[in-house]
Amino acid sequence: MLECREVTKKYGRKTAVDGVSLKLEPGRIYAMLGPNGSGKTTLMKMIVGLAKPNSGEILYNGSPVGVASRREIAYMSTEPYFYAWMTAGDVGKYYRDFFEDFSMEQYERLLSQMELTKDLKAKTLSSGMMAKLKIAVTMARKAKIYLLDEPLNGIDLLARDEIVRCVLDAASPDVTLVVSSHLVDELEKVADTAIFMKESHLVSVCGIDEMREQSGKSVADRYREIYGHGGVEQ
Amino acid sequence: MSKLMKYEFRKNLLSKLVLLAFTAVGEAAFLLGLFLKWENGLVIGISTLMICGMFGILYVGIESLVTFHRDLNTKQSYMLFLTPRNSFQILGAKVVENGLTIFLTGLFYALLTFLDFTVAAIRIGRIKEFIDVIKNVLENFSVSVTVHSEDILIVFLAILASWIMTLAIGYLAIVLCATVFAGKRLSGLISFVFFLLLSWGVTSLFNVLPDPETMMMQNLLSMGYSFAIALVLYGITGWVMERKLSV
Amino acid sequence: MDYNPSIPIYLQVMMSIKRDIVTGRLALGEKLPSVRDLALQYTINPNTANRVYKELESEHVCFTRRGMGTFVTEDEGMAAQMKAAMAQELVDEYLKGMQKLGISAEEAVRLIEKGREDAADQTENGP
Repeated sequence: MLECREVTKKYGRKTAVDGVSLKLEPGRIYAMLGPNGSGKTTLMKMIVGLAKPNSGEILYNGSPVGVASRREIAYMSTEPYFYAWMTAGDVGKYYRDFFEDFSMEQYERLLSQMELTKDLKAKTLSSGMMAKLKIAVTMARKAKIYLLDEPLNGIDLLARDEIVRCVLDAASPDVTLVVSSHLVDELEKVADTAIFMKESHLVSVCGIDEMREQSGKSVADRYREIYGHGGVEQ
Repeated sequence: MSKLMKYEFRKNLLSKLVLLAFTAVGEAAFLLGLFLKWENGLVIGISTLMICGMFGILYVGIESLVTFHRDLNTKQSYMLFLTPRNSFQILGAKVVENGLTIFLTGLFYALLTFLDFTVAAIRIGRIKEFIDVIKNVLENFSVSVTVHSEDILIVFLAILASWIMTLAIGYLAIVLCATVFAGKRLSGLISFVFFLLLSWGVTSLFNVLPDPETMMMQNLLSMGYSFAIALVLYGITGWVMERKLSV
Repeated sequence: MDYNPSIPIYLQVMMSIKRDIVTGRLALGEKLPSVRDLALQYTINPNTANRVYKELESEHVCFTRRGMGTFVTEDEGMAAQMKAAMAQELVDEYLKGMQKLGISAEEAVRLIEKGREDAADQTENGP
């Protein structure tokens, strides 16, 4: 289980994440929602140890996150981050070299499912293909926690289905999935819990079905209430 | 750590290959000049080889600083810092790979020079005559040299060591730029000034140390000092990265 | 499948499965997909898929054979009952809607008759 306690991160004068406390439990799929700049990415980066909080702490199974937790926590960033010289095959080899939970067979299966080949140069991929490559290499790990930052951003409808299926495929009672998005509808039926971030604060965490049953509200309705618009970037 | 080093080596492979290619051209010109008594070839060969040797070592070092800067300040940083490796391992892989590359490059050129000397000596017959040829070539660059055969290697190694120390100062400056000075205005300039001050500082400190009698001892001391400082700087840099670095 | 945003998703998937049983797309006693496959098929959360089966089981629409999976009920009466219940639901909804418009039950029945005749005419005359 992962726990954030009063986590704050500042970049210069700007506060990116402000006093966020949050527990992520296994067996759940979280939709982390909020407009760009609401602190989703920074929070994810702190959980995986890429960024270090100014105050507060992040615990994975009771101990602070760091080198050991990175073995079990997989993170996929929005932006491409592979070395310019790499092909899709090199990306796979790199992950195999560093992550014990990475499966080359699974990677190859996902690549062909996404209609990608190993000889494709990372540098020359279109944004849609890059998004597929990133998700394939991330989901080929057998991690305990997956943090996927905007995996559906800039991707056509068909590819979205592939990616959503990929996410569902990884779901299991001992796995935690966190998918961030500013597109609410995409995640509505896939996620069971919604995390709403606004202006570097955590606004609320709520069960999606409970919300519908108790107040007849969908995630999109709640999103509108919180942000004052319908989840479309303004 | 060997896996990290493998990728560090791969990152700057291209420039190493280019350097090798130029060296091969220089060497070919040198040998052609030597065997066909083509004097221009000899001049071109020797000057190309010298430039490759000196600038190669400089370039390999500077490129590693550029790569390190990129590894901290672009999205590429995720490649390193997502892996289950700590900052000491990540930095260590860079330092060791780069140090080794510089030493091996140096050694390679030293051996090549020695080989070329030998070949030339055999070809020309008398080493004296050959050294005169080289002196003539060097005079064209308005460089004058005096050759002390025993001390050459150790001087050379001491220079390499101090270059590695300088690079370690560079690593620290780059990390400070990305951590302590991050988000501040002129952080790059501040880091550069820090680099110059620290370089001056460690040189001054060395000059305070007692001067040994022989040149050999002097150079050995210099080498040991460089490595000691580089090691201390590595510790400090890794420590700062581990605590403060957000990529 | 398109989802109605204000009804819990598990209810909507349950409804879809029941409809498949009533229309015969799912045969009595047929094996249903595993929870994971159901989740993939409807692209829904696996916990939701799990809940769908639990609720369907408690309604005796399906049952679990240990180690073999979930199956559609073999009870023919159950299917008929479901069909009746779903039909009743539609009727109730229709009548409620008509009532909101201020149309009496008798008038509503007459409108259905008329609607049926119009539809029949259309199929006879062709489009």
